[in-house]
Amino acid sequence: MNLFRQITSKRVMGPVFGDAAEGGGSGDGSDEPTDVELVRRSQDGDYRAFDALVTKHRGRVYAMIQNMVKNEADAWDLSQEVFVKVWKALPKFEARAQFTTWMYRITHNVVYDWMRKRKIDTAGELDDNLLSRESIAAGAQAAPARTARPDEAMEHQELRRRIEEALQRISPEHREVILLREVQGFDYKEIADALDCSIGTVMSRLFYARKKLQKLLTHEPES
Amino acid sequence: MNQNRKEELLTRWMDGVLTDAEQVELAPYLAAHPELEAEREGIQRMRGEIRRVIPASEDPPYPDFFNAHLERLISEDRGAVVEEPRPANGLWRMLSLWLAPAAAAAVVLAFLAGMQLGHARDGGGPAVADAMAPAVYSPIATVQAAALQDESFGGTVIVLEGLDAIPNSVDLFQTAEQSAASELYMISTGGETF
Repeated sequence: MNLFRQITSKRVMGPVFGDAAEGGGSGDGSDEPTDVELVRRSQDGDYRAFDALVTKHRGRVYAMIQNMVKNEADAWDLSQEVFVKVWKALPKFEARAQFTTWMYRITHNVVYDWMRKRKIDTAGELDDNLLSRESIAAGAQAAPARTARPDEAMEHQELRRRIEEALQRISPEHREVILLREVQGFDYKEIADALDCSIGTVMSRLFYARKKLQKLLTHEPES
Repeated sequence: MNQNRKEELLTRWMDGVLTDAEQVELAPYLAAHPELEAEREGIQRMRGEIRRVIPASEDPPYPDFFNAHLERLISEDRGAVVEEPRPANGLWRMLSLWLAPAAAAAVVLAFLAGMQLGHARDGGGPAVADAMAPAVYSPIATVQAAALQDESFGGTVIVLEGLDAIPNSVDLFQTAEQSAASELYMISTGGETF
């Protein structure tokens, strides 16, 4: 495999809202198999179908984890762990559930297990590296979906850096609801299902998360 | 209106998804807090900015390797499950009794055969440029390069003729240490700084 092609094949896509986020079909009218079909074939032991499922969803899982843990290598490993767990749990997955919501629930559990373990490893102290280590690298890899003018690209990068830094300063619970709602485009019910909590909890977290985030972004001096 | 209900309605109001009945329910509170309108505008602007700059999907580095590595992990996991020790039945017990000594004998025979072949080649003479040796070229016209392959030595020597002599002022050991140190540094920083 050509290394250059591998690197350049790294795709960055914008937020997904509405039906596309709900994991039904390809959303673009193509003949791409739906999640339901791929899941069914995977459950029958067809690894190629599972591989297609991974290819279809790895970007969203990785982006979500990367935004939560802010470390490329950890995000890569945790994404792998998510899909291993998805594969193992697929026989128990019931078709009436939404695959993406179910997958995000596994993602949520993997990330929180990792955070808990990390907290134990650092004797409960806040790991500064978690907040700052990858903030520059993460911004550096942000590529606009279209070719922007240099000043636009810089503005985009700067805004992303500010938002990512602000997101790292709110609690993981608040960060997660913001990412699921604003970035992944989930509705309240889907967020509640993914996080295994009530809709009321989701609304409350969203309410305070937005307030905190807005305060952080408003008071942060623009560098 | 209790706190939970207020938070729920305000969140839905900021998202613009209130029903007519909810709008009526919230109206008195909004009338009493006119500053909320500006807050709503700010939050809606922030939501738009988040959507604009934070990608919902971003392929992991080396996406093809991602899938290949995952497949390996899963197959290893499957192997661990499948290859559980099974009870030895009559046939397996009988095979295991003589398969292990037979395999050990095969390894010893292969080793002895290799030793014999190695001795036969010892008198093969000096290293020569071999037709099988890799082609080597020099980008400097005045420098001739040749690859010599010595089977008895088991290696290839690249000879460069026409290079300038290394001045006595160059400390080769120090240069080697510096190169190694800088290489290590490059690795440790991911090659971003230099």
